[in-house]
Amino acid sequence: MSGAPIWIGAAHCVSALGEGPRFHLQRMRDGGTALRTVPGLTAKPMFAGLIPDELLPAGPRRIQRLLDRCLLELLDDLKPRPHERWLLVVATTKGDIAAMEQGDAAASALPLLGEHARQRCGFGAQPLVVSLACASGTAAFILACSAIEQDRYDHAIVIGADALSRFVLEGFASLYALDAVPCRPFDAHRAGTTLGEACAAVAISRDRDRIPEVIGRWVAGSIAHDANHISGPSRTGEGLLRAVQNALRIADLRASDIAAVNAHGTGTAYNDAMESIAFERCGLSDAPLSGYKGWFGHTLGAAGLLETIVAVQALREGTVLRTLGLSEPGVPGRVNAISADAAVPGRMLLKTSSGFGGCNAAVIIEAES
Amino acid sequence: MSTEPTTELKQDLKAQIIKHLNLQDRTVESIADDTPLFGEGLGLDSIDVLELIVLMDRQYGVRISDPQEGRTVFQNVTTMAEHILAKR
Amino acid sequence: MSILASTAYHDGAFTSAGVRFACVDGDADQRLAAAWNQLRIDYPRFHRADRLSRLLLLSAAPFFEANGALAACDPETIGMLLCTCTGSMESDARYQALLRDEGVASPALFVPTLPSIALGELSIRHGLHGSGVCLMMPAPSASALAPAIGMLKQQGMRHIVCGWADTFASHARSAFAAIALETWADTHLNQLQSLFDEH
Repeated sequence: MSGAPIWIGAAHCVSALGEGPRFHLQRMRDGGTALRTVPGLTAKPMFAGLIPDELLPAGPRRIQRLLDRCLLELLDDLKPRPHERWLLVVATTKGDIAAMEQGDAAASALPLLGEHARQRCGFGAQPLVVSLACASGTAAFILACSAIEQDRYDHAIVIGADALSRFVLEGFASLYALDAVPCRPFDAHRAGTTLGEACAAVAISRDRDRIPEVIGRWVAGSIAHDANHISGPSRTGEGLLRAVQNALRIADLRASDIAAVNAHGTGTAYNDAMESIAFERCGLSDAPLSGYKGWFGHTLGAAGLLETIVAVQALREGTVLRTLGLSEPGVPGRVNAISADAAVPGRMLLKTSSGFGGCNAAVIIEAES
Repeated sequence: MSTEPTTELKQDLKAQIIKHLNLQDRTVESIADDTPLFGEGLGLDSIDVLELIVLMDRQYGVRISDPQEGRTVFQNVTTMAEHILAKR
Repeated sequence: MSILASTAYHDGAFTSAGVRFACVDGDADQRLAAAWNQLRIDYPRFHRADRLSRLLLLSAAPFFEANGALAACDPETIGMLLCTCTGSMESDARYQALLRDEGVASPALFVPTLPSIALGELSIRHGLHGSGVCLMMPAPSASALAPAIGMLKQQGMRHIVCGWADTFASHARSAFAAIALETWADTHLNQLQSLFDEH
């Protein structure tokens, strides 16, 4: 680990809650969930986090409209426009899967979403398109920061996006992974997750002056695999434990240095149980912990970035927001899952994501006052 | 209607299981009526339980709404066949 | 040498350590199974995995065989790097066809509709707990992999299974390398690119 700090800022996001990190924070402090029953998308209406259409710019493909919503504003912030020595990293799980639903398999290829983003940005290098299941957004963020640490690039844009689809909703339903009510992460009565759609983006750079409104400083990150089961998380939290411990080791930090944990917190029985066990094993039992999916749903490839942005924004103001839907904690590991907003003195955030295939990603960010 | 599952039903079930769960190394003859579907027997896992629920609905019109109930129904081919007869 | 070993698969023809096996009969799945079967590895789970995972399991298998390039390496520090264009498209199409035609969402077909599931299968097969990532790109590009290789090294990986796997409909191709990161430098990228270009 070397060199000058890497700054994170120019954060943008759009979800069912609305648009922008500040607005998200305000809604999450004062209001309730944006999850609603969505008719017409699936055989049985399900709860989901759907972005109001008027929040998205015009365009032929919904996933492109989500991406454009954040990317165009971010590029506006970054004047003069980025060019050489900028890396573009795009995170997605299903990209334009709607094209597959409409019978055009070739148009659903994930690299095409990267190409769309590259054209929007107008800079030349091939974008890196990261697909690591539900850890895609967090992994993309780690890859971008690492590329700067390796002195391959001076700056990067990281953007994560996934749109709601019948394809994914019915798939999660077939796994009995969707709750009949808005998801309740870490609650004793949780019965599945709720899906949502979102786009989230940040700019990162060693040059602080190049980033409008810095929200935090990159500290470290790591990815690890469970090597255990393809669809269920490790019962012992093996992969998540390794990801967190490796990130702490790289950063030369101890668990007690972590001010707050923003968990993956899907609301499924196994995920939340696994996380609680991993966090206890990491020595993070006392750190205030929350998961934000009760507000806008599990936004797949955008989730890691969206939740990081909101959690960092909250920590900048000295708070950890509650886990919406949590009333009676019920996980096997000892964790400090909070059901009411709490003030915290520290600034060091641990954000984790875990996904199918047994992948886990952990990042540590210091929130900027 | 007899409550004893017929051999035809059980043979059909075995063929369906092999086909739908993609058990290429298995034949109908290699699965006994009481071969456990999970653990030591066919070694099926939690996703297979869900896939068997889909199979029961599609092929036999029998709905199982709770995966936990699936665990008792899917002990072996005989328990599956008995469940089909009971629900038909 | 940083590239310790390599394998390639091209629609029925599998090459490993200079030895070529070719099967021209049957469809994409049957050819892949024939290539796997000639390795004589007892791993029934192979046949139940999705196509992309099977391609990756086949491509990496020789590295982990007795005397294979990674056989003596600590699995804790073996990372995984997969690049692909079509990703899970083959699985996507299968799942979508059933959903469209019969209104049935199959859980077993849904799970592999993520390209990184192949990393999960590989990690389970060989007990790899380390770091790994899947990058989507139109064609295999060693230079585009460079930041990810550096990231895996930063996270403590000492070796990686690294390569290209792509499959959809009747097409299935791969080119994989076992790489030692200790001696790895960007100057080796052209060797990796040659491996991609040869196949």
